[in-house]
Amino acid sequence: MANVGIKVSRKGYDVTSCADREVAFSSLWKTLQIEHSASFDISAPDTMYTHNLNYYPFFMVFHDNDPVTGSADDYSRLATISASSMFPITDTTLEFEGGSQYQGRYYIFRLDLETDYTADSVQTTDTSAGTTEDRWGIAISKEGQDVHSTDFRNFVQHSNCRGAIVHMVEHWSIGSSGVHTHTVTHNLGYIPMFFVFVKLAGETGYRNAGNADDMLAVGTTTTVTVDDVYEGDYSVVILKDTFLVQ
Amino acid sequence: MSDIGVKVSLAGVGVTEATPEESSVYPGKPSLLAEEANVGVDSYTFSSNPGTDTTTNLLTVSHGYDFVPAAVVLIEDVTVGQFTMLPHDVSGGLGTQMFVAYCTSTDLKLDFVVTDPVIRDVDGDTFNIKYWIFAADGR
Repeated sequence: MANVGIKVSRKGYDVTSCADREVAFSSLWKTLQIEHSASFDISAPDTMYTHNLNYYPFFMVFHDNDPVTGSADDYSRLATISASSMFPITDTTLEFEGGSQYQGRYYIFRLDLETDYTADSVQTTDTSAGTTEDRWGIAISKEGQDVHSTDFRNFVQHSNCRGAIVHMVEHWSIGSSGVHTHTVTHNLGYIPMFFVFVKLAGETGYRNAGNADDMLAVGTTTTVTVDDVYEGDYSVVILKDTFLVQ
Repeated sequence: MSDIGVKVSLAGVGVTEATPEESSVYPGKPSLLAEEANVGVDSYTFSSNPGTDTTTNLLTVSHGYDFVPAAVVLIEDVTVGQFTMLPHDVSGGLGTQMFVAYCTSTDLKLDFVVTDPVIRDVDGDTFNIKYWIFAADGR
C-alpha cells in the first residue's frame, strides 16, 4: 500500500484507525463517479444516451412504472431484469427497447463492467463512530454550487455522506447452456453489497440482473457466488459496504 | 472538462494524467452519495402467508427530502439462500409474488405484492434487507 495519498473518513470515524467501509473516499479506491445523468420520458424504442465510453459501464435506471400493475405513478424504482429489463447498456449507448411509456432518470458511471479490478483491503474490522461536531470534515461542491449548501445533490463528495466505494469488479463469460457456478472471492470478512449484471448471448447490452429467472446469487463473508444457466457475459460489482450492518 | 475542482488520483497514478477511472475524486464527476441516516438494514419475517390480491409493507423509511430520490434495495431470502436487487418476483414467472421497492416524495417503501395465484408459502420466512437512499434524484 502506498503511504501517500488522501483519505477521508465518514463523519464520526477516526481516520487513522477506521475500517475501509467507514471511509468516505480514499486515493486507494475507486468510487462510483457519475459520468452522466438525465431524466427521460420515453415510449418508443430509441437510444436514450450516447456515452461513447467504449466500454460497458455500470449504470442504473429508475422509472415510474409499477412492475405489478404496469401503471405509471409519481414514484421511482430501479429497473432490473425481473420486472423492467428493457434498458440495456452497450459500450457506446444506453438503449430503450420499448414496451410502455416510462418516465424516470438514468445514471451512467465511470466504471467498466468488463475490466476486472480488486481494491486493496487495509482495515476490515469495524470501529465505532464517535460524536463529531458538524464543522469537521470535507465538502467538495459541484461547479457553481455553494459549498455551504445543505442539499447533498450539490456535492461531488461530502464527509457527511458515504460514497459507493468499489471493492471488486469481476467479469466472466458462459459459453454453453447448463448450470454454471462462478465464485468471486472478495475476502472482505463481511457479506457485502453487490450488483450483478448480465449480457445474454446474442444481445448487445448489459442489464441489471437483479435476480433473473434461474439465477441464484449468494453472498458470504468471503465470496459472491452466481449460478446461472444462460450463455452470456456476467459481471459482479462489489462495494466496500456491508449487507447486514448499517 | 471544467478547469476547477478537486482531483484525487488512485495510488500509483499521476494526478495530472489520471482519468476518471483512475481517480477517486474527479472534477465534474460527482460520486453517488448517501447520507448516513438514509442507509440502513432491516429484517422481516412473515407471520402468515399473504392471500391473493394483498400488499404487505415490509419497510417504510422516511428519507426527509423534498424530492423523489433514487434508491436501491438488496434483500436476502434466507429460506432460499438467495440475494436479489429489487424488484424481484419470487414466483418465477408462474404468478405474481413480487417484492417491490420504490421511493415516493416522502418515503422509501418495500412491499410484497401478491396477485394470482399464490405459488410460494412465505409463512415463517425471513428476508434481510439493506437499502441505500441516495442524495440524488430518482426522476
